[in-house]
Amino acid sequence: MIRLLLLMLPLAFSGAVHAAEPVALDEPVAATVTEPAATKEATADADDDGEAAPPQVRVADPFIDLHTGPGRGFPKFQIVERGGLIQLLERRTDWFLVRTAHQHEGWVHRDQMVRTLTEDGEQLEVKEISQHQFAAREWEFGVMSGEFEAASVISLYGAWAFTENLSLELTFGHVMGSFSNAEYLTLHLTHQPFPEWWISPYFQLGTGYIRTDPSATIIQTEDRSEQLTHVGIGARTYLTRRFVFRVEYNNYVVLTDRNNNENVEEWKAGFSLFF
Amino acid sequence: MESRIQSLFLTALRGLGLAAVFVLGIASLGAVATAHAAEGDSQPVYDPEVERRAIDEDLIDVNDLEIGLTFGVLSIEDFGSSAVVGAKLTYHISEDFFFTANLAQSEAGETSYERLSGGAELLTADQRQYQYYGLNLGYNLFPGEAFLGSGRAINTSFYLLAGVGSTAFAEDDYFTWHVGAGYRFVPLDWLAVSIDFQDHVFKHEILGESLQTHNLELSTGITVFF
Repeated sequence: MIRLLLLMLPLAFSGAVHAAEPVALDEPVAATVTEPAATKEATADADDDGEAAPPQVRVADPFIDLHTGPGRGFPKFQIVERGGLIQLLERRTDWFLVRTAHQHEGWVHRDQMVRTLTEDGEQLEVKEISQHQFAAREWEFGVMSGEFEAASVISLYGAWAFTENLSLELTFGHVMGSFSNAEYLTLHLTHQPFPEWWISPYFQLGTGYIRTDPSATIIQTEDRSEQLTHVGIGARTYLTRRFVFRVEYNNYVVLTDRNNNENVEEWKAGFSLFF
Repeated sequence: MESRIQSLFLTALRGLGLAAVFVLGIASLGAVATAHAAEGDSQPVYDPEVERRAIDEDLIDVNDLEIGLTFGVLSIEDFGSSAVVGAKLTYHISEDFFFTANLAQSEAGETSYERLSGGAELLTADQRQYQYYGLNLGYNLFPGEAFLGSGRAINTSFYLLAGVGSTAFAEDDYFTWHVGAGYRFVPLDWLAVSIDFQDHVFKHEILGESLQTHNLELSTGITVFF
């Protein structure tokens, strides 16, 4: 038995040598792993100020440009080379305000930020708002303007998309005519069958109230409030970032207490933002 | 190397039956351990216990909104010029486009007819209240910098505005077109000061006949980014 153990000794050694060799070769690896420790100290220093330290990233491109303002035309006044650490202070549209190790502050475009690395060595993920996000939007807010029969109309609306195709919309409209003004509020269901299309059609069906206020200077009648229902058809097209252009037609039936219901046509166009 | 050692063992222990099987088992265990040690080389030899923190985009302040107050002078066609006070909210959609909603209040003065005739009032005090709201799209036409002396630069932008809105005047609401231009200074990252020149165009019949009026406003806005 002892003989067996003695025979196995060289085996154990050969294992140990294998394990030790690469360590000797890869000493620089050990040096690089200590570097984040220094980073941590810097972070800890910032934490002492009481505020949460801004997130830091490491430049992975050969260099990134710092502009004096958040726009493509602003001059580049600094660069940070590969490996340099930068703190992310603020974002405005597609631009990030960053602070370098030398305390220079400047603006970097999103396209360069996506090629930086986090402290874990992973690529920084920056949300890019695109048509894809538009199809998956949850909220949409917009402004439209056009004609409501012979009058002008401005409407504000908010929509909550509970599936990719269906959304619930609340619209407030302000109608300004020569003989009367009106305000309406409608709640409707919007169906968008092809959300991924460049020009995407939609249909809507809803109900609401309209309050009509005849112009005081022309006729002396009382304000009246009536229920209305409507059907509509429209189309959206994605423009840029969170921005969408939209045009629609609505046909309203105002349920009056007179002999005939009133039929009103509305055309309008506008812009909306989605989130 | 292992196989050489293994064959050495096998030679040495040839004929030992069970013992050989036992050694083989140990040797293969040794080989596994060796392979394991080689794999371990890619791992850091010592862990500096770095606080692992993924960059959460929510940690970065997104300052695309601007809110503030405006003060200025509004010239109401036929009704003289008066002070105007308002509020505005701006959303920067991209570096080029922004959306602005504004709301303002003023009070119309007297027409020259009212002043000359002495006494004849066309509108009551309530009817002279002038309020408007505007929903405008803006375009940063000339972004740039303004220099203060030799050591300081302020980001600026000359922009164009156009939009729709409504004006409440003389107890009626009028559909209003807004067109204008402005100059924005951003002296601090969170603060903007702007000078706006706007034309509010609407049609009314207050003076008996239908008239398209141009109401010019010059105002200063102080806004903060958030």
